[in-house]
Amino acid sequence: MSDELERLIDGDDDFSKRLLSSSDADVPSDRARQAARVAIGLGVAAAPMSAAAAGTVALGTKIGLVTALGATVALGVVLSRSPEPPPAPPPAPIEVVAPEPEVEVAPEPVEPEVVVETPAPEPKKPERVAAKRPSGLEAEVRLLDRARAAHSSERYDRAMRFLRRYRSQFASGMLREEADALEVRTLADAGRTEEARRAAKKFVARYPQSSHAASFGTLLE
Amino acid sequence: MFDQHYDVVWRSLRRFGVASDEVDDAAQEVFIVAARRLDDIEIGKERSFLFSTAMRVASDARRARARRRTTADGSEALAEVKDPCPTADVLSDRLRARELLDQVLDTMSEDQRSVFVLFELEGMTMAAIAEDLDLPSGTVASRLRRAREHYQRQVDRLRATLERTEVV
Repeated sequence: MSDELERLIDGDDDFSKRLLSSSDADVPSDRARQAARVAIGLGVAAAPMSAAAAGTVALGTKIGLVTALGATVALGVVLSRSPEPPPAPPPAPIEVVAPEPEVEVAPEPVEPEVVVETPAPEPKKPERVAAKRPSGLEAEVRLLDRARAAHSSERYDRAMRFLRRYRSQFASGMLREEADALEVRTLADAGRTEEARRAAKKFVARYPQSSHAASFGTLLE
Repeated sequence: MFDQHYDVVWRSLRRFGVASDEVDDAAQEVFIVAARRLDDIEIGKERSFLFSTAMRVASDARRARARRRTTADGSEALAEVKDPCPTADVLSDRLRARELLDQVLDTMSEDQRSVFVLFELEGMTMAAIAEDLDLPSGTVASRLRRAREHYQRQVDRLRATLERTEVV
């Protein structure tokens, strides 16, 4: 038997071919793919994702996604073979609570009142703003990814900055529990044991059912 | 690794017998396992790891689903098709065809099914299957041969059932 064996789907049996080719429709949805990406801590793909799709992810997979993300946050795992470190923006000596830098914030062109005979359509401006602004979940994930990356590379102060920024931007964020859990671990790993202990207790009080508490170990004693 | 293999893992899970409404979660599970064990995955063996994990996840999912079923009969007979399609025309409905394909695949052993799916549906070569499933090529060839024979028998039976129903 060789690899050149004719596949049944290429054979003469129409009935058999029809059965086999029905599996051509086995294609994952973009929503499932994005949810899986988020669940393993890769964040939302760079590919454009409509706000509607992002919303569906948020609603449809919230529980599983949060739980799974928590698991990966706990492990500090990034599913990537890439040897280069996670994208690190230049050091920010001052915490800037601002929208994501990816958003193009080209200064609004002051449009002089010039009489134009044939008004050229300028569709770019509104389109750019709408397309570039990340959805709430995307922005949350992105910020948390940065915090996690900083934590993984033992840059704890930087991780704390991102976590503070997360809290200020997403006080009721969908991933708030994950952010708070990461904060406990970051404080503990940074050697700020007392603060970690206080944060851990606060965390447990706030999320009594959370599975993260188990990973806090002696901090809760 | 995720971007390169997510789709094939998802498809394989579906074809290894994970129900359509559970396959998203199963695929996610495979990659969560991979994320946790990233350090254990040999470079160049990512797909192999993902396939073996997918087979385990699919196996668990099938067992869990079987437990949820209340029917006692787990025999391989296609007679268990509860709603045989009334005419062959119905097969033009892709969904129905997909359902029937599932039923045929469900009658295969896990070992045969995985090789059959990867060769016949995923279009992989036997050499690639041997590598990814970590099997000797002779084993892949014999499993594929038995799987094809089994498939053909089941399809013949299914065809006969459908033709009979059509005549009646």
